[in-house]
Amino acid sequence: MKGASSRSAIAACYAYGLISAAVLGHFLYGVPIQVSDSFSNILSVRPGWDLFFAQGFSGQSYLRPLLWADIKLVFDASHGDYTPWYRGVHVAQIFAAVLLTVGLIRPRNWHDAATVPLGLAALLGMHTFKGTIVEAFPVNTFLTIVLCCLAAANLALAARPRWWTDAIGILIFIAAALTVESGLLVWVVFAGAALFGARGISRVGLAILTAMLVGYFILRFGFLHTGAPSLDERSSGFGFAVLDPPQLVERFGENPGIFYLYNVVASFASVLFSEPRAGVFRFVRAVATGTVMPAYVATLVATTTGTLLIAAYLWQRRQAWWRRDFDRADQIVAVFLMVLAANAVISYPYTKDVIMSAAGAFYAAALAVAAQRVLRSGLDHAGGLRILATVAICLVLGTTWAVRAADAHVNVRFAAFKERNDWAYEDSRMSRRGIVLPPDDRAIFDQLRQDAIRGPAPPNLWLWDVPIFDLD
Amino acid sequence: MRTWAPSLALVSPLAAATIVLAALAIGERTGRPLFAVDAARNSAEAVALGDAAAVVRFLQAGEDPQRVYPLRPEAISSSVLRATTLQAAVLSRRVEMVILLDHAGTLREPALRQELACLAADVNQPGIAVVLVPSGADCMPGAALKRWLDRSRPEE
Repeated sequence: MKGASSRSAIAACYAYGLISAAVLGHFLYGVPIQVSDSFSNILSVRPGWDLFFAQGFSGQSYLRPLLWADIKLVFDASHGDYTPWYRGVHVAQIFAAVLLTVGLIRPRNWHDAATVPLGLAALLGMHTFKGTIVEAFPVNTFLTIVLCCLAAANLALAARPRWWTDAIGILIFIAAALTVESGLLVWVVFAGAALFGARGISRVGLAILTAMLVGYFILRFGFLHTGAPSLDERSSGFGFAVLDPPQLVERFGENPGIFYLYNVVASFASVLFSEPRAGVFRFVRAVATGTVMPAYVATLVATTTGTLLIAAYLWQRRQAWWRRDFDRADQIVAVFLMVLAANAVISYPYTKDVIMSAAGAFYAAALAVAAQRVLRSGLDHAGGLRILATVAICLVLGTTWAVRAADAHVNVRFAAFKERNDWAYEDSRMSRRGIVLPPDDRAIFDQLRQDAIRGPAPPNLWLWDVPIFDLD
Repeated sequence: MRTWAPSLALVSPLAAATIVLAALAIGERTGRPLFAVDAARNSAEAVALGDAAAVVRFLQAGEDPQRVYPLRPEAISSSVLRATTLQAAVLSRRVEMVILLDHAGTLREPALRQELACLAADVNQPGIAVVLVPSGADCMPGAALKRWLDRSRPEE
C-alpha cells in the first residue's frame, strides 16, 4: 500500500486542499478592501486605460504595466460592486495557490498524502505568505507571481513537452514579468527545472523564454530607461531596526553595495529560518532584551526544523545528484533552491517579507517532498530509537506549522477588524488633513466605506491577545 | 502501526488545526460563531472596545450618543458600567474615537464639549480635553466626574 498509487489518497489530498482554501477564503472574504494602497489605486484606474500606458511603461523605477491592467480589469468587470469582486479574485487566487501546490507535491499514495497537510500549512503559514493575504492593492500582485511560479513549476515538471505547455509557459512568463519585477522568477523556475532534468518545456520553448528574458532587460533598460529603486524610496530593515530613506542615504549613500548585499543575504536567510524578518533580526533582538514571545519561538522552530529536514533530504540524495539522477522530488527541491537564490537577489534594493513569497511557496513544496522521502527512509530497517526520534521530529513539525497556519487566519481576522476601523476613521482623518474628494471619487469612497462597516462584522475572535500568534 | 506513527504524529496537529478553523468558519457562516466574544451591543460599548466601524453603524442606525447605555465590565472597567457614547470615548481614553464622534456631528453644543473636556481632565486625559476645547476648558476639578457618577448610577 505504501508504494502503490491510490486514487482515494490523491482525492483526499485535493479535498483537504479545497477545505483549507475554503476556510482561509471565508476569513479573507470578511476583510474590507484596505484604505491605504487600494483606494488610491482604484481611483487611479477609474478614468480609463491611460494609467496602463502612462504609469505602467514610463515609471522611473518600476516596469509594472500589467499590475495596473489587473486592477483595471476587475474594476470594469465589477460594474461598481467593488468589494465582492476584488475580494472574490483574492479568494480565487488562494484556491489556485493551494491546488497548484498540491499538484506540484503530487501525492501518489497514503504515505505521500501524510505530508500534504504539512506542505499546505507551510504555504499558508509561512511568514512570507502573510503579505499576500492581509494586504491587497486591491489585487495582490505578489500572490499573482506566486501563482505564476507554481503554475510554471507544474508545467515544467510535466512528463513530456507539448506545444501547449510551451505556449502557456510563454504566456505565464509575459504576464508575470510585466506585473512586478519578481515575475522574472518564472524564467528561473523553467530554467532551473530543465537544468535538473525536467522536460515539461521543450528546448525551443526554453530558448524562446530565454530570448524573452533578454528582451525584457533590453526593453526595460535600453528603450524605456526604467531604472531600479534607489535608497531614498523606501524604508528597509537593517540589523535591529528599520531605517527610513534619509537614514539609508546617510548610512549607505556613498557605498550602497554593502546594503544591497545585506538585503540579499537577509532575504535568503529569512525563508530558511524566519530570521531576520524584513531585514530586522527580531528574534535576536528579543533574546537580547528579554522580550521573546512564544510566537517568535514557534516561527523559528517551524522554519528551522523544516530547513533541517530539507538539508537531510539533500544529504540523502547527494550521490544521486552527483550522478545527475534526478526524480520529481529532486527537481522540486532544486527549483526551490534556485528560486530562493534568485528571489533573494531580486530583493537587493530593500527587504520585505512578502517579496520572498515565491521562494516561500517553493519552500512549502520542497518541505513536503523532503518529508516524504526522509520519513520513508527513516523507517526502513529502523530500530525503536530511530522511530521515536522520527515521531518526535514529526510532532514538532506538525505542531509548529499548525500554529503557523492558524496564525495566518488570526492575522486575516485581525486585518478585517483593522481595515473596518480604518474606513470608519478615514473620513475624519481626511477632514483633518483638509482633503476634499471630487464627487466621483467621493461616491467610490462612500461605497467602499459602507461595504466595510455595514454589519454584521466578522466575529471578533480576540485571539490576537494570545502570545503564540504573531501580529505585526 | 509502527510505520504509521510518524505520519500520525505529523498529520494529527495539522488536521486538528484545520478542523478547528473549519468549525469556526462553518459556525460563522451558519450564524453560530464558536469562541467569539460578543460584539458590541450599543455605541457606547463599541466606543469602549475600539470598534470604530460598529460605532459608525450604530450612529447611522440612529442611536443617540448622549443616551446612557449599559457597559459590560470588560469594556472599560468593572467600575464603569453605564455611560453615554461620548462619555465612553473619554473614559476609555480613546482620543481618535472622540475625533470620530466630533466629525460625526455629535459634539456641536459648546456646553457638551465643555462638560466632556472637564470629564477628560478629571480622568487625567489632557490630550482629549484639548481636542474638545482647544482654548482650555474652565473646570472645577472632580465636578464633571461626580456628575457622570451621579447620572450613570443604575436606577433603584
